[in-house]
Amino acid sequence: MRHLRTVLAVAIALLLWQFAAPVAFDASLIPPPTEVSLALLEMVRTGELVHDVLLSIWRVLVGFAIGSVAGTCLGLLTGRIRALTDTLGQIFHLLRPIPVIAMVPLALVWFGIGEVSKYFLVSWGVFFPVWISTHLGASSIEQRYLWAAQSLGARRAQLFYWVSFPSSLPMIIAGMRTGIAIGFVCVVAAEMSGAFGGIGYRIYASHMVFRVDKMLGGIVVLGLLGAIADRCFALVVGRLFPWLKARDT
Amino acid sequence: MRSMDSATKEVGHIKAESLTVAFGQEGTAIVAIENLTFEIQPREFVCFLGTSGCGKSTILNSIAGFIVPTSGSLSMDGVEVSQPDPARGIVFQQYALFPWLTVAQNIEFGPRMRSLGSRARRELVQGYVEMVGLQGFERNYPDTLSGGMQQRVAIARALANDPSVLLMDEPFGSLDAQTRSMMQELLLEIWQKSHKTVVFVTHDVDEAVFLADRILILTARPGRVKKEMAIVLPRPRSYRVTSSPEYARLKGDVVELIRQETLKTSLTRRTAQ
Repeated sequence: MRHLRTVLAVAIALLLWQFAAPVAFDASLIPPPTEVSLALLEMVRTGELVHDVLLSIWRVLVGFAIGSVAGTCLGLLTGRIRALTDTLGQIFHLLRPIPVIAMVPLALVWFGIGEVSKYFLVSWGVFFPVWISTHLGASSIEQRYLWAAQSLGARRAQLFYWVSFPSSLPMIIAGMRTGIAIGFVCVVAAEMSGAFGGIGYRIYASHMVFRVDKMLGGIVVLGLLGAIADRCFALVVGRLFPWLKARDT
Repeated sequence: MRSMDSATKEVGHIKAESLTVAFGQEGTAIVAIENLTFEIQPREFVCFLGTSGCGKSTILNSIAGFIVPTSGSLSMDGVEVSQPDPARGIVFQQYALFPWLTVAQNIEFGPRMRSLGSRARRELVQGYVEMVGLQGFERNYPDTLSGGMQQRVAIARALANDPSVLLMDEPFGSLDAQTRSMMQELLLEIWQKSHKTVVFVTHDVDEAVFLADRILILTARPGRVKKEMAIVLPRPRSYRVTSSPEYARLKGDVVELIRQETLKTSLTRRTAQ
């Protein structure tokens, strides 16, 4: 029933886009779904779409891996160790509000137009939401868990792995989920400012030749990719940490 | 010096002298326990009995090494308590099982921390799972178990580390009456076999009289020992002992002492207002 409603809503939105938008606005600015589909098909046929999608996904994956691992590790440290909370933690708090987009030109200067600047920007973008969530999770661990572990003989390093990390996991995962969305934002921003491929690059290149249909096609693909990535992440998390699901019920 | 002691003496001996714990800044500090002096013998089952807010948990947290006393001394087997130690296992009222670990993984937590091999751990887990009657639930996560079952896991987890002292902070306080009395009998049965020192904190008179060798009745905040009572009921005890006249007499005495104490605090509160 709920699925049916969703399908219906999407169908109506598509119909409105197809038939109402060309009447209300300039059709060359908002080409209908049929034209966008044709543009996408053409991009699939020439192979550029697959190439762009794979390139972008790879960049997001690499940057996400670096950013979320760094965010988790440093979040646990700044959340648990007082000396690091007041030093490293405060520095991250200062850097966190900087919009990632502002870093794009700098990244190009530092790392050039190649892959490294993309990895850097995505990692940077992913790092902060993961770090802040982990930090908050790690600094509010229930005392009884730590006490229980200590009285069972856990040493400091063991506490990190066996208590602080799993206990902060719900927060870490929430941070990573935000991180995925930001990762896509970063990759598109990076690709639009200097790249030779990727969905962001394709949208920008289509803009230069006024192919609105291809631009919209790229945007649709980005939306789908983001949604799929989020679902995949939720699936993997459910597999890896079944106890999280048990907590919900 | 210490090795000589432990060679000649049994382990699990606790001694507190003028123990005082205050929380907060000096001046505005709240004194939780004051000048507490007591001694607990190896293999003894001692209950601290007191009304809520009398610092019962603070005593236990001090013995565990979670809290550093403000003044006085606290030692176990002749060594000053300064930090948590696997020789002192603890069971909390709210279980504090790790929700990210299965029943088996929770039980083997202590042995794993001292790097015991996986085969030895498996045998250990099996033994303790049987002891607390949780066969078939090894792979369950704690959140899928009832309160009574979770507390069994918590007891098994503490015992699997083979501590010489078992600290219990109102462990059955949140269980229903039926489950509670079953758990009390199970605990006595386990204690009888394991010969560990048990320090048990509760506000439930029935529970204290049924379980303990000796009850230390605490005054209201700040906690001090008001009276010490030996419970001379026969061992091993089953629930039938609760219908004996001896039990009724002991319980009556304890209730009277507690009543005096409660009355006193409510009176002082009234005059304070």
